[in-house]
Amino acid sequence: MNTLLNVLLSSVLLAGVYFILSLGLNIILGVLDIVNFAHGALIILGAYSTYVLHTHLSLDPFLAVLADMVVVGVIGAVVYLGYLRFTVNSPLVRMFALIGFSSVVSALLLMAFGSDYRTIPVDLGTWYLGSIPVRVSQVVAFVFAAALGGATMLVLYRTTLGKAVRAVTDDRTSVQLVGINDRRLSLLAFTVGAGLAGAAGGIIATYVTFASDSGLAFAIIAFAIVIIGGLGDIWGGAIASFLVALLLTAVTVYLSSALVNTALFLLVLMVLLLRPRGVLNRGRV
Amino acid sequence: MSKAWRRTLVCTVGVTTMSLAVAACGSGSGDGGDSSDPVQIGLIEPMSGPFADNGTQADRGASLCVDQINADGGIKALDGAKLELRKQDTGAAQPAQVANQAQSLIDSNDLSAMIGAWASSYTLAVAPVTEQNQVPLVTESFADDIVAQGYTYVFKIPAPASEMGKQGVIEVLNLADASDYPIERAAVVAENTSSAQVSAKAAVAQLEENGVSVTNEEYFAPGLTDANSLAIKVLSGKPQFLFAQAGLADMKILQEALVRQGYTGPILGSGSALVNPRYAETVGKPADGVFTSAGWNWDLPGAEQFVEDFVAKNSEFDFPGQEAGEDCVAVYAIAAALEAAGSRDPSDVRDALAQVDISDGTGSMVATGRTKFEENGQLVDATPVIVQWQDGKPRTVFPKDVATAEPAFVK
Repeated sequence: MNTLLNVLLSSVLLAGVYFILSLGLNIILGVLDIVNFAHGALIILGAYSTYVLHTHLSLDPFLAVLADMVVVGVIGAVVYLGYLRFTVNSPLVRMFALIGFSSVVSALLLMAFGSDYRTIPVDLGTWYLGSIPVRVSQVVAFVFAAALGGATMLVLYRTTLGKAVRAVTDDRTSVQLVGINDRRLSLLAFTVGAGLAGAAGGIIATYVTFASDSGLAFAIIAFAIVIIGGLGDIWGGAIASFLVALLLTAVTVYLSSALVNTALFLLVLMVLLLRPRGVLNRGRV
Repeated sequence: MSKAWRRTLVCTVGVTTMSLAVAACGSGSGDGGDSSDPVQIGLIEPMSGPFADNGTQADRGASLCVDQINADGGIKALDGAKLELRKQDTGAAQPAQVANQAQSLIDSNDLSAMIGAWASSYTLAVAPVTEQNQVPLVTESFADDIVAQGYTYVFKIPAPASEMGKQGVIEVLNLADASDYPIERAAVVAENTSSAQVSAKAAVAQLEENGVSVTNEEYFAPGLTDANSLAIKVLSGKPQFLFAQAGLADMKILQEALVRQGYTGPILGSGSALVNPRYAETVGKPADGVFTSAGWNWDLPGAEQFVEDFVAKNSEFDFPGQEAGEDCVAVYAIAAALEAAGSRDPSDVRDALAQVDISDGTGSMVATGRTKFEENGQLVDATPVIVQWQDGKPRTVFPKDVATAEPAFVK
C-alpha cells in the first residue's frame, strides 16, 4: 500500500514537470505546425541559464526560471526571425535547420561549459506524508510548473490574444481573411513556446544533473506527451503528462527500469492506432 | 530560383556549415600528420559526453606520463624519439561508431600503439579493429570478455570486472560480520553497461554464495531523468546492503533518492562514478563510507611522484582518478616495449609488450607492483583495489599489504 501511494505521489509531482516540458512543444506545434526538433536544445539552454544565474549572480534557482523564460524566449524569437519564417513551405529544410540549430547549441555549450555534468544544489529538506518522503524542492518545482501552465492556459482560453492564437491553429486562412496578422501571432507563439521550454529546463535543473547533450532524453518525453495528448491539445497534454509520469514510475517500480522506453513507445503506438487525435480526441491528426 | 527560396537555401547551408564547424571545434580529433620523428600513440577515450570525467582523466594521466618520458630523453633505443599522443574523442557515440573512429585514427596516423577506450562496450568494439590492423591496444576497461576473445594485440591493466564485484562483496561482508551488522538481504542497482553488468552479476553470485538473499536486481539505461522510482523499487525488499554502479551524474541523483527513501546502509560499487575524483564533492555527505572496487587508486605504492606531478599540473584536482593512473601505466608499458623492440613498428611493439616486465618506478604503480601481461593480455595477478571514501578521498583498504586506511563500517 505504501509503495502504491509512493508511486502515485511521485507520479503527480513528476507530471507537473512533464506538463511544462511538453507545453512549449505543443504550442509551437499547434499554432505553427512546426515539429520543433530544437526542443531539447531550448530545454538545456534554460537549464544552463539557471546554472549561470544561480552560480554567478546568486539568483534563487526558482526565480531564475522566470529569467530563463525571457532568455530562451528571446533566443527563440531570433531563431524564428532569423531563418524559421523563411521555411514555411519547406518542412524538410525546416527540420534540418532546427537540427542544425540544436547541434550549434550543443557544441557552443560544450565549448563554454566543458563536458562536466552540472548540478544546482537545491536542498529545501524532505516532508513526510505518513512514511512517504516528499522532496520539498520537487513540490516547489511542481507548483512553479502548475502556475506557469495555468497562466498559459488562462491566456490561451480567456483572452482575445489567446483566442486569436487558437484560431490560427484551427484555420490559418480564415484568420488571415478577417485581418489578423498571423505572422506576428506565429512569432509570438514561437517565442512563448521557446520561453516555456527554457522554463522547463530551469525547473529540471533543480533536481537532475545535466550536460550539453542532456536535452534529448527530455525532448523524447515531451514528444510522447504531445502525441498522447493530441497534437495542439493543451488539456490533453496535461492528462498525458500524468499518464506518462505514472507509466514510467509504475513500470520501473513494478516491472523493470529496462522496460521504461519500451512501455513509453508502446503507449504512443497504442494511442496512434486507437485514438490518433489524442486522449481527449481533440488534437489534430 | 525565387528570392525566398534563395534565402532559405542560404540560411540552411549557413546553419549546417556553422554547426559542423562548431562541432568540429568542440571535439578533439585525430588529425592526420606526418609520421616522421615522434612515435605516435593513439588515445581513444570519451572526452566529452556522459563519460567525459573518466575520459579526460585518462587523457590527463597519459599526457602527463608522455611529457615525463619525453623530458627524460624520449625513447633512447630510437635515438631519443619523443612520444606523441594522437587523440580521438569518442563523445557519446554508439560502439559501432567508435569502431569507425578507431579505424579512422589508425588510417590517418602512423600509430605504434593505441590506448583506450574506457567503456568496456567501446573497447570490445575497438579491439577487433586494432587486431585486424595489427596495432597493440592497451586498455583500462574492466570487462572479462576483452581478454577472452583470443586477441593477441590486446593488453588489459585492471582486474577482470567479475573479480571486481566478487572481491568487493567478500570484503564488505567480512567487515559487516566483524561490525556486528548481519546482512541477510541485499539489492543491486546498476547501469546496463557491459562492465557494470558483469560486476553486478558477479556480486550477486557472491552474495548468494554467502547466503544473502538478493531482493532486487535493477539495470537501467544511463542518463536517468528521474531516480525516485528506481529507489522505491530497489528498496522495496528492505535491503541491508546495496551494490550500486553508475556514472557520476546518475549516481548523484540515485544516491539522493536512496537517502530520501530512507536508505542508510552500506553501499558498494565498482569503478565508474565511485572512483571519480569529483565524486565526494558532487554527491556530498552520502558519499562518505561508500566502498568501491577499482583498477587503480592514487595512494598505491610507487604512485607518489605521479600524484605530486599530476596535482601540480591539474590544480583543480586533489588527486588523480583511476583512469589517469591506469593510462600512465599504459604509456610506461608502451615506452618500455619501444625501448625493448628498438622499433616503432606496431607488430614489433606488440611482441615486446608481451614480454614487458616493469617492477620499479612509475610504470609499476599497480596493486601488485608489477606490470607484466599474461598470454591472453591480462595483467599478471591483477587484483581489484578495494577503496573506501573517507573524508572526501578514496582510501585503499584492500589488498591489506598496500592499504593506507582501516575500513570503517557505516551502518
